[in-house]
Amino acid sequence: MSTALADAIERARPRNDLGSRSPFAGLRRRHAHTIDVVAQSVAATAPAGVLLIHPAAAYARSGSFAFLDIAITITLVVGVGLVIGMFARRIASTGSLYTFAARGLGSHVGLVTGAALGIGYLAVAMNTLASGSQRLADLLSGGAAPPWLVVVLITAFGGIIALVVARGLRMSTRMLLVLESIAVLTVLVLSIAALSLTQWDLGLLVPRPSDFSLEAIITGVAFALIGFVGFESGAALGPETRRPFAAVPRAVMVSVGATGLVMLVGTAAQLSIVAERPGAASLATVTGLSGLIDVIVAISFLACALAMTNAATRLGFAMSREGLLPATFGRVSRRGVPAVAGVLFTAAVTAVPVVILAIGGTRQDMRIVTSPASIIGFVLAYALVCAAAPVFLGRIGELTVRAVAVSALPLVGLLCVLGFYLAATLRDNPGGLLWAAVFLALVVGAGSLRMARHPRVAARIGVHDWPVDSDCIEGPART
Amino acid sequence: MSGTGLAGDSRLPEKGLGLALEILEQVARDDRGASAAEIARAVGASRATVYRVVNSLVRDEYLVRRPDFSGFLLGTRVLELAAIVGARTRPTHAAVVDRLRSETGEAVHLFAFHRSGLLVLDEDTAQPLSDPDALLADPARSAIGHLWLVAHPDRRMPQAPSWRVDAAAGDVHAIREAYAVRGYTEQVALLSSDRGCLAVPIHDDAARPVGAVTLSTSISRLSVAARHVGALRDAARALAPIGALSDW
Repeated sequence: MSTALADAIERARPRNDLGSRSPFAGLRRRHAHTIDVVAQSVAATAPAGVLLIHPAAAYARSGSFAFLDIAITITLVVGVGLVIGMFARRIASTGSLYTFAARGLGSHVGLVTGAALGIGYLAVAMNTLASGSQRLADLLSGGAAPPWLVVVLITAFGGIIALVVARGLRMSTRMLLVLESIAVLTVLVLSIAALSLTQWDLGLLVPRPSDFSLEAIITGVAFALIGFVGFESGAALGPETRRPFAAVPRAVMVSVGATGLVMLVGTAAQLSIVAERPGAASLATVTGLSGLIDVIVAISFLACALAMTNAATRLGFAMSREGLLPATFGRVSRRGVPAVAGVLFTAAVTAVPVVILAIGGTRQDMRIVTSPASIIGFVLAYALVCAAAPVFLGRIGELTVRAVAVSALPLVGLLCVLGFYLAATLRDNPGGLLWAAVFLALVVGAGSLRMARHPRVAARIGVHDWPVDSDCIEGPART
Repeated sequence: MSGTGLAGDSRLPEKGLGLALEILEQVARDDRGASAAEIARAVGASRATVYRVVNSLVRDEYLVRRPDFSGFLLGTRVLELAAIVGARTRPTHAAVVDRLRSETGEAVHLFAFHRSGLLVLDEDTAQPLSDPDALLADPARSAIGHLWLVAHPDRRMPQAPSWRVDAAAGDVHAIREAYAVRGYTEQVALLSSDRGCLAVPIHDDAARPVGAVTLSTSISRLSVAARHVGALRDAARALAPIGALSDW
C-alpha cells in the first residue's frame, strides 16, 4: 500500500488549511432528504392552485395554442432546471440563484439577482397568503367576506407560517408535502373526471393554424411561466440537505417533471371543458364542486406562501452571513434554523396585505404591484443565472460546448419572455411596473451602497457552504 | 476498440472504477488541490470524461472542491474506500507472490505500471525496498523502472508526472536492446551499493505490459539469481488475469 491515495487513507489526517467554520456555521446541516427539497420546490410552484385558476384565462389569451404554450414553457423550465443543476452540483448555498449568479458574474450582478429573487419570493408569498385567506373567508361567510375576516385569517395563517418556518426545515417541508399532495391529487382526479366527461376529445389540444400569432404564444408562455416560478427554491436547501450535490439537482428536475406533468394533464382537462362548453369556464362550474375547489386552491396557495417564505428566509440568511443584511437575519435558533429571519420575513409578508385591507384597499390593489414584481423578479433571476453558468464553468476550467448550449437556449427564451412581458405590462399596468422597478432599484441601490462602503462585504458576496478542515483529509506528507 | 499495439497500450481504463481510482490517486498526490484540467492531463483521459467522473466523485463526497473552486481535495468519505483499496491489491495476488517469496528466499516485490509511473502493489515486508523514493522518482535507476521505460517508450515527463528524473534517450535505447535479448531487466548497485535486482514483466490478455514482479538480492548472489527467472515468469503468467481484471 504505497500509492498516494492509500497513504492518505491510512493516515486519515484532517487538513488544517481550510479553517474550521463554514460561513453557514450554526445552520443545521445535512439532515434533509431529496423528498424535502422536492416538497419545497413543488409547493412553491403551487401547481394545483395555479391550475385551477389559470387555464381558462390561458385559453382566452392563446386560443388553441394554449396547450402548446404549456409545452413550450415546460421546455424552457427544464432548460433553466438544467442550468441550476450545473451550479447545484458544485455549490451548496442557502442563497441559491443569488450565490450562483454572484459566483459567475460577480458581486453586483449577484446582488441584482438576489434582489430580484427576494422580491419575487416575497411578492408571491403576499399574493398567495392573501388569496388563500380570501377564498377561505368567502367560504366561511358564504359570499363576499367582510375585510375584517380576511384580515383575521391572513394574520392567523401568517402566524402559523412563522411558527412552522421558525420551528425547523423538515417540519415545513413535510407539511408542504402533505398539503400539496392532497391538492394535486384532488386536481388530477377532477381533471380525469372532466376528460372522461368530454370523451377524451384531445383534438382540442392540437393548435389550429388560424389561431397562430407569435405574440400570443410568447405572451402565453410568459403567463404559463408564472405557474412554474418557485421550482428553483429547493436549491436554497442545499446546505441543509444530505449529499446536496446529488440531491438538489435531482430534486429540482423531479419537481419540474412533476409540476409539468400535473400542468399538462390539468390543462388538457380544462381546455377540453372550455372548448366544449364555452359558457362554463372551469372545472368548478362543470363539476359543481366550486366549494371544494376553493378549498384546494386555498390549501395550495397557503402552502405556496409557506414555501416562498421559507426560501426568502434562506436567501436572507446567506445575505446576512455576507454582511449585506443585518446580523439578525443570520442568527440561528437552538435547532439550527434561521428562526429570526423567518419570523421577520413572515411579518412583512403578513403586514403588507393586512395594512392594505385595513386602509380600505383590496387584494387587487396589492396585486397591481406584486404581480409584475414577482414575474419580473423570477424571470430576471433565471436569465441572469443562465448567463452566469458558462462564465462560472469557464472560470473553474470546466466549460464544455454542451454547457454553453444548455445555458444559451433558455437564456434566449427568457429574454424574449421578459421583453414581451415588459411591453405588455407597460401597456396594461404601467403604474404597477413602475412600482416594481422602483422596489428593485431601491434594494439594489441599498445593497450597492453597502458594498461600496464596506469592501469586506463586497468581497464576501457569494459565500457558500464550503468545506472545512474536517470535511477533507490530507494527501501524503510531501518530501 | 481492438486494443492492439501502442494505441491500445496508451488507452486508459475509462471504465468507471479504474478511472475513478486513478483520479483519486492524482488528487491525493497534489496536496494543493489539483484542478479538473490538471487531472485530465495527468490521467490522459478526455476532459469531458474526467469532468463527468470528477463531478460524480464530488456528488458522492469522495472529492471536495476547494472553497474558491480552484481544485479538488480528498473528502473524508475516501476513508470508506480503505477496504476497497486493500481488497483490490491484496488477496488476489498475495498467494502467488507469497509462494515466490518462500521458493526463492529472496525479496520479491509486485509493481503495477501506471501511465504516469509506478505503483507498488505488494512490497516484501520482510525485506523492504532499499530506497523507494529514488526508485519511484527515477526510472533509469531500477530494473522495474527499466521495464516501465520499455513499456512506455513514448511517455516522458510531464506526461508521466510521477517521475522526477527523465531518462536519457540513449539509455532507454540500450535498456530496450538488453531487454530484447534477455526478456527481463536487471540492475546492479544503482539504488543501493550492495544490492541488485531482476524484473520480469506481467502481460495482460492483450499482451500489454501491465506490471512486473521483481526479485532483489545482494550483489554477491545476483549472478546466481538468474536461476529464479523461470519461477518469476511462471508467477508473471499466473498474475496476468489479475492485471486485466483490476485495470492496473
